[in-house]
Amino acid sequence: MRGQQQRSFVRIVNAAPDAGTIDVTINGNKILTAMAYGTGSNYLPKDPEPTSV
Amino acid sequence: MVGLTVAPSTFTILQTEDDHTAPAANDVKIRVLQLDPLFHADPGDSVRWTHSLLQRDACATALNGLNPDFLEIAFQSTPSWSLCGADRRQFAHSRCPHPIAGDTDPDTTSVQGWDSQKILFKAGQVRTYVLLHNPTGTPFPQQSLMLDDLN
Repeated sequence: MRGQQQRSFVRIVNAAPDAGTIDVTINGNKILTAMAYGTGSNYLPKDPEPTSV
Repeated sequence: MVGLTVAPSTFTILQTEDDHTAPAANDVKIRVLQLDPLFHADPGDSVRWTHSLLQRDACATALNGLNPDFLEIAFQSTPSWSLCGADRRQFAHSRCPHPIAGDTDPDTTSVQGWDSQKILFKAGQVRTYVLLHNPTGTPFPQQSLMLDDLN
């Protein structure tokens, strides 16, 4: 379909035991707040573009 | 109180790709992602670790002839997928007492730890089992996280 852009999905796991809770920012936008160690996020939609985490 | 300004450091994020293609009927597709850097650092340890997904609810001390499902998964390695039948299962972490290259004799494999999670897998599911360090965990300093990839 014209104009329809395929999206990507990303999921994040906090596997750093010494980091405590973390906030996750993608391309300057905070997408996760106070993510605890040993937890994983749901799938997050993401446009296909260069990405900085 | 004024917040501290901390210069951000850079690090490399471990990226793995999921596989959302469903397994064959009655099967479950699963992989192990080993993210505990100390898992192979037990006292005097050069032994090999395996991970098994067993159909049992009670702990045992040996695999009793069952072949491990996941052999020697290295820290942060890219995991491969394994298939198992849909059932109630529990992860067992094992070590072979005689670390001989190529020795996969399950009869010499003793179970060192059982994951307390007993998981009911349903046909068609895709899962990622993440093994993490837990410094306060006793008697096994690990914890786990099961990620739902599909269904």
